[in-house]
Amino acid sequence: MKIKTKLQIATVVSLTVALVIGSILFFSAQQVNNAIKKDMATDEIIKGLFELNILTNSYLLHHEERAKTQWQLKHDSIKKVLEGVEVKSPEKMVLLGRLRDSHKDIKTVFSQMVLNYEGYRDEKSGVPQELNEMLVGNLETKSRSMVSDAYQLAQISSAKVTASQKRAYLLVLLFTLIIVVVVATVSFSIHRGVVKPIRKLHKGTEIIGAGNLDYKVGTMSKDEVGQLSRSFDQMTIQLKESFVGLEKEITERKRAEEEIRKLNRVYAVLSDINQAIVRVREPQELFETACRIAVEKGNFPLGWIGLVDEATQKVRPVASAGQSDSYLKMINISLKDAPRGYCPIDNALREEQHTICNVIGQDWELAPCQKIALELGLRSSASFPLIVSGKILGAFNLYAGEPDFFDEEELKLLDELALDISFAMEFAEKETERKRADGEVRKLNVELEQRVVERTAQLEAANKELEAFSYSVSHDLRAPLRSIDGFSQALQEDYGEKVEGQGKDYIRRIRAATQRMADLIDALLTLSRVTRSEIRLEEVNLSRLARTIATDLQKIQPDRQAEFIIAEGLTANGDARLLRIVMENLIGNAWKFTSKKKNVCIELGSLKQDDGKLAYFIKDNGAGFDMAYADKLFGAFQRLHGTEEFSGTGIGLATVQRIIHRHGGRVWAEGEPEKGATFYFTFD
Amino acid sequence: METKIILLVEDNPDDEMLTLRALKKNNIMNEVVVARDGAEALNYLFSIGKYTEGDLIKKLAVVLLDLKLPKIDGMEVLRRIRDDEKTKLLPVVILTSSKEEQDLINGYKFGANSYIRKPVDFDKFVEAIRQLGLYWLVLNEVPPTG
Repeated sequence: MKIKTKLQIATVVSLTVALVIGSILFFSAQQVNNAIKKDMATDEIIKGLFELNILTNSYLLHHEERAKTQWQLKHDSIKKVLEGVEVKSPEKMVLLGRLRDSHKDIKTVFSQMVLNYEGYRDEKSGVPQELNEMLVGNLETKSRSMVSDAYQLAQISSAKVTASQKRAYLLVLLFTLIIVVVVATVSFSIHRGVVKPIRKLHKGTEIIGAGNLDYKVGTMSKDEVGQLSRSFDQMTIQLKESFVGLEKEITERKRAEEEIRKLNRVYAVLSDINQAIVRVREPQELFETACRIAVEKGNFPLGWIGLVDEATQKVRPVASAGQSDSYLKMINISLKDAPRGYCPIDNALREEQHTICNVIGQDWELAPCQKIALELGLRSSASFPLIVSGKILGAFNLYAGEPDFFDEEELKLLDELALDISFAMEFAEKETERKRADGEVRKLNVELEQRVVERTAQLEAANKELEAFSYSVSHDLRAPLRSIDGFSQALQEDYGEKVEGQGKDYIRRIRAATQRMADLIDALLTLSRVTRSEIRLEEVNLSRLARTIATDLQKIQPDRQAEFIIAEGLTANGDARLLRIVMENLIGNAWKFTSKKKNVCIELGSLKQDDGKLAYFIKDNGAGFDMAYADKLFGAFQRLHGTEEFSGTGIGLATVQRIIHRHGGRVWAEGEPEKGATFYFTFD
Repeated sequence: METKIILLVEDNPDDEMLTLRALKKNNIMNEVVVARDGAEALNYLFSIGKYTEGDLIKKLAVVLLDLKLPKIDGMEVLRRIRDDEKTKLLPVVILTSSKEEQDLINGYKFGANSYIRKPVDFDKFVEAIRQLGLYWLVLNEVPPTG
């Protein structure tokens, strides 16, 4: 039965009982009320009877009309009371009948008395005593009988009330008992059906709450608590299912987190080593840094790099970090041996790909070094070959403290790392080569610079020497010439008469030669000066310069007729003094080589060249030259004409060329024998 | 009027002879004192060493100074002449074979009054000496000496 039903029953029973008790109480109260009412009626009757007695006596004594009227009124009121009383029991009906009868009789008696009095009032003797007494006695008797009846009636009523009250008490007691029994029953039932199972449920929740999801409350009752228990059990089952799922998920997540942690370690190593690759140029330093980073950042207990020795083909550890010494001492791998593949490093080097040993102590690869590796707490290892320009140079080896550390993801990253280190090695190799080449170039440069310095010094010395030489030439070479000339002259003057005919010609020839020698010296000095002197650039008016020179020439030989055509406003950027030498030489040459012509025309002009630069030219219609010898024109001491034909040192054009070259320009000539020559020159 | 002295500073005996000949040819009869190196010239000018005849400077009309000289070169001689209060105003004509720019510049910088390059052609040399004598001995007025 459901608790709800149980409670409903208990409520209905309780309400019914309460209703019954209420009815009983109401009913008994009604009875008591009735009894009291009757009691009051009898009281009134008794009181009325006493008053009637008094009024009777009063009338008897005084015979007043008022008493008689009062008596009548009282009697009527008693009559009314008697009529108002209702009774049911026969005993009471008898009593009440008697009371009514006596009431009527009293009146009759009192009326007799009144009649008597009035009948005898006129008579002096009055009413006979005996009659009067008999009537009064009768009246009193009747009254007493009435009082007695009334009392009796009242007594019966009160006895009835008492009885009904007693009955009501009994009933209330009974029903109270019933309530107690019902309540006790219900509470017992609730205790049994609710509290106990709830306690059990509570215990169950505590057990399940403590983590035992296998516990079942197992209540079989069909009430709500039973349903609750079953739901609870169901829930526990579902909870367990989801808990198992959750646990599985957590495990999965933990594994993923672990993987991420691992990858992060590897990433950190990759990133730091890559930074180191950028920073560190020296391979040995890079190896050491890489191993150190693997241990510090990657938390690998051991990392080392081994290189294959070219000569012995043995793997030689070159850098390591972590717990390495005792382990590395054990490493003895030679590629010369028949492939044994007892070690990942060996395998990595032979197969040119990474080789892993994921559980040291179980995998076969590490056999010879297993014991010591295990002692060092190394549980898995991986080796990555370092390949430079297609050649295996060594391997990068990493050891992890946990088994199965290296899986696909890590290997992918670490392969990349090995590639990066390989690349750095290649780079370093190239860098070394480049540095060596650089060093050589630098050495050569230094040597060259040294040579330049030496050459410059030599050149300076040579220049100094040349200067000294020029100075010496200027002074010392001319002095003897002057002596030769002077004394030749003196000879002629002082001993002229003794030197005759041919002799005089000899003296003339001596003096001419002397003069030519002097000219030559001067020309040489000019050439040397042109080479040595510093160039000061300024704008030089070539037209004006040409005119001055032409005027000078005309002055020296006023008898010569020549037409000068000088273009106006020709300027050039150059050293004024040197350009003067150029113009003097070129115009001088034109003047000289037209000396045997008539209608001489000497022209200064300019023309734009193919490259847009301006070329100046000096053109004459003089002796000209054979273009076959054009290349000889500008050489020092080169002459295309005999001294007899045209005087000259053969240095003039060499000087011109040197000056033009020193200005960064070019000079060239065109000519035809007997038609004239044109000399072109440009400036930078 | 007392004829003035020409001081010829010349180490080359040929040049000395030719110069004297040229002077003679131009009828320049002044006494010519020849010093054969810079030191000798300075000794003469400052009356030290073997020339102790006293104050010669007042008697000097002009110094013909070669540049390339043994012991002390012409430029140094010129510098010393111009450095000394007594000789500061003495007319000095550089008479040399050199046409070197540097010599010309330095010569004038150190206070030479003229710079004449000896021509190789003796005729031209005679002409140069003639003009030189005419100018410095006749035309030129020397500053008063105290």
